[in-house]
Amino acid sequence: MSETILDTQLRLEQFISEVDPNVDISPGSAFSEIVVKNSAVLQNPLVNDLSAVSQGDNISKALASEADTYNPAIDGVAANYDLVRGEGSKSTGKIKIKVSTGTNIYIKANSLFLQPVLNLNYVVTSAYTVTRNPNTGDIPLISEGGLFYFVLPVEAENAGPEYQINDQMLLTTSGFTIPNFVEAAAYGNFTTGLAQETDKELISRLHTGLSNKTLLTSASLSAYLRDTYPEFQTLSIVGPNSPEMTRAKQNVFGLTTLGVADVYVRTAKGLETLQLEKTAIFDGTRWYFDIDYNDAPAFYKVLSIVPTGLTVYGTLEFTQEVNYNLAEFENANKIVNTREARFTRYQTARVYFTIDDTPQFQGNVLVTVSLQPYIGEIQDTINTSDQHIVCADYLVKAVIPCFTTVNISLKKKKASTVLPIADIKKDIYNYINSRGFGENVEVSELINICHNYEIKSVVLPIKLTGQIYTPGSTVINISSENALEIPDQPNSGVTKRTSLFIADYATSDANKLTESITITTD
Amino acid sequence: MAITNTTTDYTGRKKDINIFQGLNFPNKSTVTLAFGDISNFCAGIQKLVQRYAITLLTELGSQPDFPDFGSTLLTRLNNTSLNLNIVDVRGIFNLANAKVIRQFRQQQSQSPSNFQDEQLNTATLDGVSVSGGKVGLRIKILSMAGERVEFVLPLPNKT
Repeated sequence: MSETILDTQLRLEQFISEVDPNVDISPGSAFSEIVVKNSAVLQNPLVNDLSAVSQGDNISKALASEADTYNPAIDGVAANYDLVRGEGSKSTGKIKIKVSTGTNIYIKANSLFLQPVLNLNYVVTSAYTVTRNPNTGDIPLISEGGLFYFVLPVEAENAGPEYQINDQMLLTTSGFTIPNFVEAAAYGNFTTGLAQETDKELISRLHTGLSNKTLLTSASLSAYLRDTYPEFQTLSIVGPNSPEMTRAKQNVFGLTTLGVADVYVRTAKGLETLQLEKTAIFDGTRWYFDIDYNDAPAFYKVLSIVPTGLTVYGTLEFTQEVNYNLAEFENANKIVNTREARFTRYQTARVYFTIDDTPQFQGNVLVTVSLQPYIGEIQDTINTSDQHIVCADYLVKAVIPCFTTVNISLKKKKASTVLPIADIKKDIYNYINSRGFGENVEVSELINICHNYEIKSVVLPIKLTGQIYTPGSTVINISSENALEIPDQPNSGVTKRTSLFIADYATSDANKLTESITITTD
Repeated sequence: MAITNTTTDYTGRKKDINIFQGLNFPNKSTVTLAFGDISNFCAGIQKLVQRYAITLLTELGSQPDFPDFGSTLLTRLNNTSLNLNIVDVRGIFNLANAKVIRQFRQQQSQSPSNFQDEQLNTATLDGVSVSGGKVGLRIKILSMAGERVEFVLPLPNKT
């Protein structure tokens, strides 16, 4: 922790009082004005610099430091391991803005949008003209249900994962106005941002830095992926002899063969969403469309289906049938059924939905899906890069998701206290989404997180619930008041080696936003 | 500065650097704010007057790392957009003086063992003197020991 100038002044006053108690250093005295204050101003930055250097002057001190440090000395140490500190990345996304009239709108560069609950700003990086008759570079203003809307790309004001907001989270303009403004909301999940790598995080990568970044081992594969995808979180490799592995036994004798591995990856802390424009086909009883393997590789689930051009609140009712497609791939992995293809880049789906008899509906819909990013790219890289291991079949899978819900009730010390609920949620979100393979979500740790803030107590019990979406398209429900634990069900593909916890600030659900992390206060 | 009373025993007192050079007790004398050729210390009522003057004449906010130290006296008097008369000067002084007194009392409550003649009770503006193109404030200080001290505080010229 850095020392303030008042702290330095107090320290000097105490020192002088001990060394020469006859000196009057009370405020307003000449000694105080000439000696103490000036010394405090001179010494304070030196004290803080020494403290920072001390915390980073060797690796063990950097690891023991309570504060996040970013010491150039650690950068130098990391360079010996062929490592560079991650500078972080800003979360990006789009905002859908509704207005009541179709007049042209001009948005200046650096205009700000604010998410009022989280108190986070998002920046429009370029100037845009929004018009019903767009030229190249303009943003189209589209008529919808008596109103008009346009979609504006934005990026987070600063780097960091806390800026990732979810689809339909409301925003407001900050410091400027949009004529005839009705509403602004996130248009799909924003991408995961990344904070600048701290000394501790950089040091934790030292052992992988000089490793041969190949596909041979778990550590080297992790190093290879982290170099290419900075937001990459963790991976788990299920080999041919693991009980979860089925692909290695796909032969007449059911015997395990070598050379096959399933690589479960978490490529980002939070989920991203994609909007797909689809034209559905009516089969006589219901509408359907297909999600191709390239549309949304390894997507988890369809979140919503909204007909284009019509006003619908929430989503149309739908069902999905998952399948897979290997035909288009020259170096496809060995997959023989839908369950093996689930959450991989080969996954496809046919989605059926119904809609009330609406003559204007021509089949055009906007589909929102949730997914881990880069699964398709990683699989393509592994299959085709010069690092590819001959005779090895590495199938990349998005981790089996356990969508986690937690409801916490807090008691405040004073009724007038305003608790930073958004910060508490962010800490809980980071904790849950950082759990590695084999780790549980501990209620005791959630309580510790809450007690980092000015609360009186946490109301017990805290109930944790999880919904695990299995590769077989079934759902396993788990819950606990102590520690949420991934069950060991290798027959369904769900074990601690294949599944991880996923929490969101807010997830779209039917007609309303529901939050997977809810915090109430008395 | 005219000293109306003295305490003779300063044993055990904390000392401050004397910056009111030129004292010629018991006569009235013009005091210059300087360190002088020979440094000396001060204590007692002299020290109290010095502390009060330093605090009153330091412009509030002029010390970036100590933004709460000082008063608004010189800032307001130097506001050339105003045409001031003696009544205005009294108002400006009273406002600044109130802050200084409040600050001193706060500090004194944390150090109740300080000697009474080094603790400020109150201060008032007796008058404004104009002489040779210079303006001075005739201030009377009352210590907790009951001592009254009158002195003229010359206002520095605006640079």
